[in-house]
Amino acid sequence: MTTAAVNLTNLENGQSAQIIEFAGGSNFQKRAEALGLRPGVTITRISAQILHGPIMVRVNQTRAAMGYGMAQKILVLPLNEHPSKP
Amino acid sequence: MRKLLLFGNPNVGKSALFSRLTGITVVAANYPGSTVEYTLGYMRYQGERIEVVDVPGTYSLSPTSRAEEVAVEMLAEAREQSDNIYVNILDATNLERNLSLTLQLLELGLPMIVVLNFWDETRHTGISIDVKKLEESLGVPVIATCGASGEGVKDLVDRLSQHRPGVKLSRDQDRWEYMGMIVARCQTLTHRHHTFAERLEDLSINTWSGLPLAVGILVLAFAIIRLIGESLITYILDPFFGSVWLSVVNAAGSLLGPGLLYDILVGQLVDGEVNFLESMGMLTTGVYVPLAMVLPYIIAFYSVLSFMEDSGYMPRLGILMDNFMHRLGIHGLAIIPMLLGLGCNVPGAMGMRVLETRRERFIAATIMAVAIPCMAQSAMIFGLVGQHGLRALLTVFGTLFLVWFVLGVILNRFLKGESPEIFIEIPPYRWPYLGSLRKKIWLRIQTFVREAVPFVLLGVLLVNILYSLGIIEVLGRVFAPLVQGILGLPPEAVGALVVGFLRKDVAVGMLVPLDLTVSQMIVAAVVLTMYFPCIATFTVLLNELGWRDMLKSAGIMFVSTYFVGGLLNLLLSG
Repeated sequence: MTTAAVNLTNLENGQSAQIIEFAGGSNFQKRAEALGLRPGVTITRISAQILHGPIMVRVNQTRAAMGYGMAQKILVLPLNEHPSKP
Repeated sequence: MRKLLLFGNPNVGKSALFSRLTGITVVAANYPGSTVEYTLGYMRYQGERIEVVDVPGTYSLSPTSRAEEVAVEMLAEAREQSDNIYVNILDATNLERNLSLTLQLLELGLPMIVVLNFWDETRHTGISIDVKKLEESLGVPVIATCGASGEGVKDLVDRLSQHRPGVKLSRDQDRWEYMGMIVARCQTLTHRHHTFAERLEDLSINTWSGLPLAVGILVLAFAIIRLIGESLITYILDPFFGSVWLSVVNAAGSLLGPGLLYDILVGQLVDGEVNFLESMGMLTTGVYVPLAMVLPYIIAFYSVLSFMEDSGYMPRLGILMDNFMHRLGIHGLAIIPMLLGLGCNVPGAMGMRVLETRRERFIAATIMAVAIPCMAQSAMIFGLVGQHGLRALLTVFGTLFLVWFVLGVILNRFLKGESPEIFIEIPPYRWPYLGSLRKKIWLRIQTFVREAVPFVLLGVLLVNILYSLGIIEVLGRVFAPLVQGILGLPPEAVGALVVGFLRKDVAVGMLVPLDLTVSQMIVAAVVLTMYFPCIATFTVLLNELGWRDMLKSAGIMFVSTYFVGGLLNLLLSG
């Protein structure tokens, strides 16, 4: 795979990626892990609110929403260039 | 007493199972030193009465919020007693993530039972879990249940005695790796189509379809509240008070004869007759206002709100509102305590715990206390201002909404610091289980009756004492420049402001004999909402914010009340 790492806000709706690392503090990481978001797992961006509002994601069976700034702190490796419609 | 503790992540259907296991007696308790609420009940186990505790939901044993801290503290406390039973409830449709807490609990060597709830949902979500294999992997009994239908609950009760400590990871084993192994061994997924609920989930969270849907849902919610409230008043309570209670009061009145006791219990006659709203006796106004005017709306409000909470809609509303609420310096989840505040400011103030920082709690608590009328007060405003037409009503509530928004924006601009971002799980939509919904509504109504009725009676008594001692008159003269000059209200309105500290509903009722014009009525309703919280809310806010922030908040209340009240008076009378 040759795609470069981006952050969650760069993904398109419906696109999946593998989480590489968290740039945020340890509390943020702890909360993320509690919801199943941790390095290595596949995350799918579902949609986003307008005007840099919260981003909705899915990891396994869990759906979660996080602020735009938080989503910027999650570095991911996109799994496919062209998102397939779910 | 021996305890059975229910642990689990949030949104795993714990309260439905709790409600299946326990009898009628259910108590909502506050964890000491916090505003985190949990529920207690009782059940029979091996011929013994044991306590069942619905511990606040937590994702892990290393807490990231106050509610999670409480869950961990409750666990530590329970471990001091050796014969307690631990039941860990999992969402069967989300096995892997839920197992994280399970393994942490097992690591402590607790005697446990594991419950796979929402078992019925695994069928149509294409998930199949081998319960026997899961039991082997965890080393404790695993029981599949469906709290809503009651499936598996008897099995759970029958096997409670088999609680035991299970597997423990060795120090070098990674928890997530082990969980992955368990899931690979016990769970198979098959492909399936999207369900209707999932489509609705997508629609209600997308900005363009979600916002109109949210407006529709809220309008519908308030229409239903109005319909239930009005119907209860028109068809049940007014007929009852107008016939049965009126003859009781009249009989009591002729038994008492004229005198001080008559004045306090029955109050002043209006046109030679008892008037439940204006007489101001403990048996007339003191009973009629809380039970016949306010209680119906409380029942209606909590029925609708509890349904919305249990269906899983609230987090979505929070996410949709997040952008907007950040303009006020608070994140979207603050919409939940705000809505709760529309019922009663007390649970609203307690609900502020969902906000993480002191700054957020200060802003949210202040704008709620200033601009959100509780259902008791709203019910009275509907009744009294509503007589003057929809425009008057809209002016009152429109003004309050504007104050709420503008004050939030101002506070956000001038207070130091910034507000953290939202980060929450979005639970799937679920049809609420009526058993636990009923218990929740019942608990809330009980709390209202227990807390409000004594205060109303006290308020009515106070009114009588203050009037007969001439204190209201003196206060009226002292505050006349403010009340009359700036707000344009008659000096007697000071009486309502004094009583408003105790109960806002009684205070609104006290405006009736003053013969106010429509504009005065509007100003008075707005001022009564804004100037200060009632004593019950004040106590909780003081507890939440501390003295210094509470004083600041109170200062903001006084200033904004006179500014808005004065401006409204100028605009309406001009």
